[in-house]
Amino acid sequence: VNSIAALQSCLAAEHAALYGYGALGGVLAGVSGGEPDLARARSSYAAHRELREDLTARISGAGALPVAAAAAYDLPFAVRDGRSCRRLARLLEQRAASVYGLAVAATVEEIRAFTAAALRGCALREVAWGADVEPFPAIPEL
Amino acid sequence: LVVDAIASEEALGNFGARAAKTHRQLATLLRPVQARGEAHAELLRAALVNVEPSRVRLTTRVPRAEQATRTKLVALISNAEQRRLADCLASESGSLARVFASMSASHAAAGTLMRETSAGPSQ
Repeated sequence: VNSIAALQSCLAAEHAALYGYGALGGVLAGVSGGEPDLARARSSYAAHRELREDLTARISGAGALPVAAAAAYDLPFAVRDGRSCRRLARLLEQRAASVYGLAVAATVEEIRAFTAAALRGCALREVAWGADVEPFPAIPEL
Repeated sequence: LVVDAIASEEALGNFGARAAKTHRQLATLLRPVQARGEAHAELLRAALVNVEPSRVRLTTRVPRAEQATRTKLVALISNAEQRRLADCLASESGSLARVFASMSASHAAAGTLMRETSAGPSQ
């Protein structure tokens, strides 16, 4: 896997994460007492949007065409309330972290530092959404 | 790189174990630190091929005061986070870099949670 392919995978994961946050944000906006979760969803969305822009610029800068977002994504389960929204958010962060973990392995130097920082951000957000601190975030096989 | 990382993770795990004995009321905070340090060290030991892990054990004194122990713990975790990130960036092996990045992120999450807990109204 070359570094551009790895970054393309990260960008695809960011498109999916943004879609997911858009979906759960819409639900949280209608949940009574859901303001803290909605604020967290907004900051998480902003973090992923920033990563998406960074990845797009990196890929374009290398002369490649950034992978486009799909028109829609299947959510793994229905999000109807605060609890299912938090569960989805944890899953989105977990999946994005896993992709960044693979990108860390496939890259070197500055791009590795960028992907490692992105992995860290996903792990922090996953815990902020209520996940336990795992000894090996982003490595699902461990 | 790996040998030093094992010693560092073992030291963190050992601190968690010894501090939990000294400050039993912090056990729920310290046992996961011990477990993570041990899990990290175990995985890294398995990655060593034809190299003996160091027999030198790094130890950090456990403060007698509870708050000082919390402060020390946060500092140790922050140090481990930075060192595993440096190991990630220095690693020639991509798979090892991934493991180090994961460990660093795990320490980052633990440290953040610990700082938030310490700053909480219940403390």
